[in-house]
Amino acid sequence: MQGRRSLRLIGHGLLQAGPILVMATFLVFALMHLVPGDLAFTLAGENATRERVEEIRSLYGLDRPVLVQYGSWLWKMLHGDLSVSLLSGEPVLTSILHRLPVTLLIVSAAMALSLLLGIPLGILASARPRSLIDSFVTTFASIGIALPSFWLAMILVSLLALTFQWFPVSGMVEPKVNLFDALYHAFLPAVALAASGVAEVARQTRSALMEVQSSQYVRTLVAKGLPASQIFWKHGLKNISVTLLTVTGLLFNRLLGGTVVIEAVFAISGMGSLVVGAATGKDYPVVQGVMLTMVLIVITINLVIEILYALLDPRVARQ
Amino acid sequence: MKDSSASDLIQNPAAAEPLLRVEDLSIFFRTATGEIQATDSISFSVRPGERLGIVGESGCGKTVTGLSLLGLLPRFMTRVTGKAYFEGQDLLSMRRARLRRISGPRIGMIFQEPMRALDPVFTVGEQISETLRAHVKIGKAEARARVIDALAEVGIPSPERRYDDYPHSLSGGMQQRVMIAMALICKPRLLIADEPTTALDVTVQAQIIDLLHTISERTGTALIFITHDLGVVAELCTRVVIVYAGQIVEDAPIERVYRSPQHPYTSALFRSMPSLGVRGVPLPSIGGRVPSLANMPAGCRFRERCQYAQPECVAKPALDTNEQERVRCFRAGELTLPGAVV
Amino acid sequence: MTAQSSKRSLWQRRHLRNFGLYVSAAYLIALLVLSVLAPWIAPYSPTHQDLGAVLMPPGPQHLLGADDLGRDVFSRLIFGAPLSLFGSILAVLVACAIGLPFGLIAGFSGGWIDAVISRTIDTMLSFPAIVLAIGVTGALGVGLINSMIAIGIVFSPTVARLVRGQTLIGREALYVDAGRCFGATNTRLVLRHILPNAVQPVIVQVTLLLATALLAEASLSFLGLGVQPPQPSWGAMLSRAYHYMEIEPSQMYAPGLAILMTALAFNTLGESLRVLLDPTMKNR
Repeated sequence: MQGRRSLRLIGHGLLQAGPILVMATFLVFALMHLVPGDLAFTLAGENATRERVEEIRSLYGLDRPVLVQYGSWLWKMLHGDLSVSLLSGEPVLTSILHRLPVTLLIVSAAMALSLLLGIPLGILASARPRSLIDSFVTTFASIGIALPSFWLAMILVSLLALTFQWFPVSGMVEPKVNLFDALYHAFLPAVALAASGVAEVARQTRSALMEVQSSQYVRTLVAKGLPASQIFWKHGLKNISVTLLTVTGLLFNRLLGGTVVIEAVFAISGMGSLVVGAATGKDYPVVQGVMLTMVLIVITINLVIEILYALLDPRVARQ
Repeated sequence: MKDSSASDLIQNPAAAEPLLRVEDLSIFFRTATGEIQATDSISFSVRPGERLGIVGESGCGKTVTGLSLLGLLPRFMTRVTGKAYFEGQDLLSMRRARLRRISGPRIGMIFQEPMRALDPVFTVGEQISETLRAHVKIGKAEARARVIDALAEVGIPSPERRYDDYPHSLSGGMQQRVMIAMALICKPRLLIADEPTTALDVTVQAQIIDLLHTISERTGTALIFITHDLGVVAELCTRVVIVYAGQIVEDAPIERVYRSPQHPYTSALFRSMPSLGVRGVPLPSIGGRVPSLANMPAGCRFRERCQYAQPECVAKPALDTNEQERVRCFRAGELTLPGAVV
Repeated sequence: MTAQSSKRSLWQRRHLRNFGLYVSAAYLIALLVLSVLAPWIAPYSPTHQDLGAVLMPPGPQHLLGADDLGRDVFSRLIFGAPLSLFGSILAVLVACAIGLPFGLIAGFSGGWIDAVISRTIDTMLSFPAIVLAIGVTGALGVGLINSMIAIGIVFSPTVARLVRGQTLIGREALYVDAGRCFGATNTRLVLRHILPNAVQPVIVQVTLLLATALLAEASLSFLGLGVQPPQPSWGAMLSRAYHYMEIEPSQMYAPGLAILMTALAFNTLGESLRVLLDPTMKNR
């Protein structure tokens, strides 16, 4: 029964994610056509001959109708051919697969920090509304959301890495080489990235809990004589878990984007530095490859969250 | 308590010690502009097995009165003074932990909107079962069996299956039955029902009223039924307290109030009730408006809407101290007011 | 707790909230004035190089020190304000220019048009915002205007989704039905009844988006995709400070603080407006 329900939910989720996935690939493809002027000229480079430009044009199929171009591009993508870098000539998929683990490590660490610190802070704040700790958390949350993460990263590097030398200033160790060392290198980047995450999670946890506290069903729970601890740990947490899931999904998206800037500060060669370099150098296949990978990850995460959501909240499963 | 003694008490309520005795209950709301008084020295008693209706318009203070008894008003925004003795102990000055051992096992409560009063992410069975297990030492399986019995008792078909349903998949009437089962699972001596039928369809309303009547008759559970609907009270209650603008204006056995209301407001309530037999006649409504809580007139609060008002009404009328029948009107006894059209 | 103290705390809360509103509004107005008057206020030109003062720490001659080319950090901070503000406002304008019409059309027409627009919104929101902005900037070419247009495009689905929701609410409302009975055209309905209703939440959203846009501008300029040298936006200043962090860390504090405070001011203003415009939130 439970298994069949899960299967149905997964099917439903896939049905939802499908169109978004297709449209996302189209957006990534169409991005190339935002390039002002003749794309073939741009791709061929500044000093290319006329013949070279025409060669590029037919190589990329730029002389064919847009939908045909999209079709063949998508066909190649589906077979794992993300084209090659215009600058280095390296297959795009290879560079991405090489850099993905580092980025995912930082994002996961930041995610873990955000949830592990943000949820307790939100709980503390909501337990005593308008107390000192609540004001502290609320203020911290406002600042955390307005704080440029890369600036925080710079301050952390300046203080903890340059002055006290507790952490490495820059660079990264690949997780599969030495996971512990990788985590050590990922710590400061993750902290810088997580600041806004902690703030957001704390804020949402607090407001969700406040809403639960003032709800009529909590009044019922008090009226039927349940201990306050049971009301909070059993009913409160399960009711806010839905909010937390939603926040987690949005946060993952944001952290994944945030690493781009953070990687620049710590000179980490992950997905972020890859896409920044490519965007500056007009290396469009690499830009497209990174965007496609990231959106694929986000859509997958959203799909998982959608399913968990339906499992947690019986009202969703019905629809 | 045996059934026979319960019905004895209903026949002769004065014979028993009150189960609940509320004295001078005043509730204040804290607002940004200062404190405003929501109820003014509410006093009433409920005897074992008695069914008391508390009737008034919305905003008159009847709901907050019910909530205050179990400490359910938001603590930062309200202040409650007075006493409410339940089985000899004052509920209002009681510490939370002790109150918790009374609300549930000794006093049950049901609310206006069952959909919002039930936790949406737990099954109804689990919500009733946890109530039982919070107060009685009992195994999970045994609790489940008792919950299923309780669901059957409040008229829920195929209770074994409904046990695992979530609130949203039940109809409003079924949800309210679940609330009743939950409130009664520990066999309390008093059930407080706060407008339990207002959010329901008319036909379902009647069923719920029937159910409450049956249960109260069978188990001898006393009932406080808070409503704006005098018609419902007539079907269900043995006694009625009429509240106007935060004050009790009349308190008497139900037949007496229906036959000859003593307070002009009570009488006006009857006249504005749709009744059988007078079709085609436009329904009279009470002229004027309820004075706002922040700006209460000093004397009789009904004065400005009262067609019998006299100069003396600018002074505050007292509520008679006669235990059985109380009226807050200078002209009580001198007026002959129309009651319910029968 | 006595009645007296609760009364006071309520009073304090109300004034504390207004206090935040006043301070952030005053700060933003001051910043705006500063932006306009920058050439008259700043002690130096933003590009004036004092080679004797390269990487000088803060002191009487250069209040906040001088950067790696001997340019006065304080003056560049002041000249950075109009660029950062202009960038944020441009981005939000672009977001509204795209988001408003699409939101209105989706909400008002429903059916397959709504479905297509809504899916597009979902899709765009599936991209990490900054990565999408980098991609669009990469295609359009680097620079302040292009990067801000990119950020505007990235923010447009947020605006569109909000407007769509408001339009749906407005469309359901009775008075629109009434208007239709009297033979009002669709365009007139949208312009006269639905749009004004959607304006309040949009104002709140726009104020909050200004903060996000400011942070995004700083990020893109820091990455070298936004403002190009020698122009001094705050993010670009941080980028310079970053490269000389080991020698002179003090240079990164002022621009970062300026970004933080301005973003905070926009957020506070937005939240205050939300409370002011929404009567149901008054007592929170």
